[in-house]
Amino acid sequence: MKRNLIVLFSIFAALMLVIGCSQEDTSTSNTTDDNTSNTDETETTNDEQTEEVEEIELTLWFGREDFIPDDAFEQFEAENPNIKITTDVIPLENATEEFIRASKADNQPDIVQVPSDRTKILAEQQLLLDMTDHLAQWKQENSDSYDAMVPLAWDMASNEGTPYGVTVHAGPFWYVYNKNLFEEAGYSEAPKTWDEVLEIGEAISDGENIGFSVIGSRAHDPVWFLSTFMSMGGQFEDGVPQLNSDAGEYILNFYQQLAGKDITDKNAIAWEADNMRAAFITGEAGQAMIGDNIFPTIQEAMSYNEDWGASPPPVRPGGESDAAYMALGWPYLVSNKTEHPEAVLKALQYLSSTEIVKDVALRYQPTTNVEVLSHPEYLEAKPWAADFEEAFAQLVELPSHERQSNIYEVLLDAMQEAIQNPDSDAKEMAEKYQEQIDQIVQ
Amino acid sequence: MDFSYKQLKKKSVPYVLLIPSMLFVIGVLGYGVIYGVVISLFEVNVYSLETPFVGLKNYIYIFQDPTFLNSLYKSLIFVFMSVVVGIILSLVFAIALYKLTIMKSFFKGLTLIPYLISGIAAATMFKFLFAGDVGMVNQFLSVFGMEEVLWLADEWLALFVIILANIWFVTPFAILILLAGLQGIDEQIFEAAKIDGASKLRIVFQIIIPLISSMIGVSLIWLSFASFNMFDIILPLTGGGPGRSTEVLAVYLYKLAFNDLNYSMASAVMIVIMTLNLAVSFVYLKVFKV
Repeated sequence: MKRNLIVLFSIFAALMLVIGCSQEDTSTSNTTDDNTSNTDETETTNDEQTEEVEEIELTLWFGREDFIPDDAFEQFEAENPNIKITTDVIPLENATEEFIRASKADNQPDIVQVPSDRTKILAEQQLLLDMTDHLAQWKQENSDSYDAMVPLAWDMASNEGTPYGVTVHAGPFWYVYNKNLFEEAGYSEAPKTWDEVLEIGEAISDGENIGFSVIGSRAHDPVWFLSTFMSMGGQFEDGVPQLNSDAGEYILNFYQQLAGKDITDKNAIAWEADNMRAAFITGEAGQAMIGDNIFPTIQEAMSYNEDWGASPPPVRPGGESDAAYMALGWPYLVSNKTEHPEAVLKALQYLSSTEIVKDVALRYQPTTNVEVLSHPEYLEAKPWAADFEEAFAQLVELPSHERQSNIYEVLLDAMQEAIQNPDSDAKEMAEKYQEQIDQIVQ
Repeated sequence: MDFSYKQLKKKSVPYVLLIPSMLFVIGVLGYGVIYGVVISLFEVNVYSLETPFVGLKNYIYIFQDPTFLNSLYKSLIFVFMSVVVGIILSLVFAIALYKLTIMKSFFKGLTLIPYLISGIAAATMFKFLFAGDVGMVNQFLSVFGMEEVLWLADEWLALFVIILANIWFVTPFAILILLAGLQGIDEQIFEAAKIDGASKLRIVFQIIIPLISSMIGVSLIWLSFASFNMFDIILPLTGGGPGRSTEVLAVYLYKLAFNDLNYSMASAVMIVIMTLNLAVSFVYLKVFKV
């Protein structure tokens, strides 16, 4: 027993000795490293300054991998050696909820990217940093880069006038048409009104071809529906769409006619974005509303201005003055718990810089940076871009309400009922669903 | 005294061995359920910073909400059809597998494949099968000159498709449970029945089913539980549509929690689903004496 105790004690003593020595080694090693480092740095700066530079780590949540700059912040980190950027991809669909959860657990990123219609929710949850002063500083120090962003860039990242970041990328939906099918049906020009869209659609639909390709399923938020609604002059009150209006009745009637006159596919109510786009890209559908980011894919299958054309959405007869071109945006918003707002501002400036934005815009979503939109490389890569310069300047954000997702569900109900019941009274339908929306927001 | 201590020690071993798994279940599931029950009594959502205690208000609201009642109705149809068809198919396939003499292991493995595939993959596959004019089923029908069927565009047909997909997805595990039951039956019983001149149907109904009744109970619990909670096939396959024809409770819950970010209401729906699961399981446990 005694012998065992002696052995155990010896082992313990040996272990303590080893640990003690290793700690001494480490501290010696650190000192050595520091000395070496200090010696090196005397060539460029003095020791005191080196100690003052704070090491900063910023975490950025991107909504899609495609939004991450091509250089993955390499240049930024070279220009700002004390700032390290960590990126993560949290899908836009989950980003709001994940950010709320992470904020409650004090594990939030410094910058989060969400759909612009979710800015309001995060702002009202008091999770975002008021960037007014920092943006003023940006404008003062680098007015060229600040002024390159269209007003929409700030609007989409704001709530009730308070800015919380910047929207570098925004995507509108444009009206697209198949020139070959138009020609076969006896039409040569893009329609100016939605009535003409129906007329041409009817002429194109012959059992083989689809007059107008549309998303009818519940798989997505009804942003295509709302984009069409706004182009028809649809109005919003405090971010709430007004279905019981001329534009509201008109859009429901529009969907009824698409289904009732077989202008769209019989399965349209089950169609998702992929089905709708595929019908157009494969040349089966004559017309559609498609996001600008999909144009390069269309271009791979058909040639712009030869086989297909695009224009800003048509208008509703009588609703011309209220018509608007809606864009969805994906703002970068700053967490109110960030400890490094100055570094965050630098990161936002980097994400908004023309060179960085150009790379993303060339391969993915359009931008709110006007320098990129008029850049020769951009115009060459996107031959349709010049036709939309004016429309881009008129883009407006999708108005939103804090109960946006509930409103979306009702809009989907309305849209699907219109498709399923082409003979119902559109006015009654609009009244019914407006009542439901009003109940949600009251 | 020593004898009773030994007996106690022996009897306590299984309980002691259960402790780690029980702690794990309580730690993971218990916390979630208790937290869910608690927040279902409060108003927790992203529309307000306050989280006031509201008692049973969330439950009263959902039971007056036509959307929830529609989901409950669709869930009951979905679960009932899935369980009835699922258990019949499970029994048939289990007996077929039991009777196999060649490549039995291969076919057993094959049976499990649907269970091993992710819900998203299964949904995509069923989409390919039932999509409009390009779906394989409609292509097949067109060979016989039949009209295109709007499988996913018609409310009742879409419900039929999700029931079919669910059965395809959850039945394999029920088959294995029943097969395990069948393999536990003494083969001499079958021999004796044959000698006594019992027909095959009589063997099934008067020997097999009574002898594996507890396994049938377990299978029914599984089928009901999996069907009530099913959303990972439905969401990508129909999104709950057309209209709200396939918006079963689990899909409704998902939308409340992750689209609307209405956590307390979603928790109330979760408690309803859990109560339904428990009630149904209790009935099976009693009837089949599991």
